[in-house]
This record gives sequence, C-alpha cells and structure tokens, in this order.
Amino acid sequence: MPIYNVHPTADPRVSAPDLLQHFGLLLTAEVAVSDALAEVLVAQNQAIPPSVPGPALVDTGASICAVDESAALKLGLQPIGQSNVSGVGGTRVHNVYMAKVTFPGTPIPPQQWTLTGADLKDQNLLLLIGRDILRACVLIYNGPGGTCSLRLSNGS
Amino acid sequence: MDAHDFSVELAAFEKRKAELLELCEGKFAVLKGEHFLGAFDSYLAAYSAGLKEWGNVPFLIKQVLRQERSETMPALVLGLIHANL
Repeated sequence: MPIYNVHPTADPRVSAPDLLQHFGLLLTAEVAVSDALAEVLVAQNQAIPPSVPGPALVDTGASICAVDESAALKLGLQPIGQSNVSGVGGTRVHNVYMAKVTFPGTPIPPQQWTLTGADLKDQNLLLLIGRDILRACVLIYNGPGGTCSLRLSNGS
Repeated sequence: MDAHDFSVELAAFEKRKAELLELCEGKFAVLKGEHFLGAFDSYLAAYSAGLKEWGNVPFLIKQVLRQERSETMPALVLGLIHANL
C-alpha cells in the first residue's frame, strides 16, 4: 500500500498545525466516469466526459463518501442506488453513483468508489471521504507537526 | 436535487427479500423496474452487470441485508465543515 504524506502549504505565513486545524485533511482529487462506464461509452462511440477536479476532505465523522452532485451530473453519471442519510431533521434519501476517483500527484492508486450525491458546492468541496473508505486505510494525524499520512489500498 | 424515484425497484426488492436473504444475504441485488438481474459478490460487480445489461441508465443496486442501514454525515448535514467560533 503506497503511503501519502500530506504537508499543508497553502500559506507560508501560517503554521502547518494551524493550516491542518483550519482546513482539515484536504486532498486534491479528480472524479471521472468509472472504468466500466468508460468501456461502455467507448463501445458506443461516445465521448468520455473530462474528469472534474476539486478538493476532497477526509471526514471521519461521515460513515460514507459523498460527491458534489453537480459534478456527477457533469460526468453524465446515473443513479444506481440510494443512501438514507440521518440528520437533525430526520432521514433524507440521496442518490448513489459509481465513479473513478484519482489523486493526481500522489502515489494513491485510482479508486472505483460508490459516492452519495450531495450539495457540497457551498462548502467548496468536490468530495467527502468517509469511513467506508477509511476502513481500508491507515490514517495518522499529527496535529503538533501539522502533517498527515494516509495509506490507502488499491481497489474499491 | 431530489433523489431518483426507485419505488418500483424497491417494491420488487421487498417482494423477493425473504428469498434473497435465504439465498444470498450480504450480496448486491440489481434491479431495473421489476426485472431482477441477479445478486453479485461486490457493488462493482453488480454495477458492471447492470451497465452491461441496460447501459448508462438508472438502475438499483441494493445490498441484501436484514436491517436497513442509515448513514451519517454530520458535518454535511449541519453545514459545519468550515465553522468559525
């Protein structure tokens, strides 16, 4: 399993522990159509939509992963399931999509993930990475050092 | 955005649920309308089978479980991903 060491460097005037506290564990990600869907589109002589880049936040409070639903729509992904998400106002049903997630510039291999559609735009996020993925990871959060290490296995 | 209406697929799943629990608890059932495609070992295998059968259209993949799961995303639900005190 490759290890990815995260060193937040958004602003040199701000210390790494402060950056990590403020932004959390943010990764640069891209969401694309799954390999299986790409094969279908190629077989049908259809164009493969370009991947959508954006920030992914590791959220240990979330039991599942979420994708900004506008990105799923841009990619032409179709719902293939439903998630029941509990909140203060009760349970809400969300669409579920299959997509390929990559982390450019990192040793993390491409992933084929099921992602729950949600409105993340207002929070400037493309993805939330929840515990369904973290269950296959080793995550070390070094608050005083302002760094994180993530080991993520290959596959879904 | 409103969730896709899978009411027909969910009703078809419920009709078969007892049988599926007996035969393949934990596997991933694939349905479109009332058509049951099969039950697969993984979500990805179920997805590939559904794509192959119907193409890139909505269909339902549902894990065969005795109890429905409810998910939590508190930061998203509460809109507290970036909060200032």
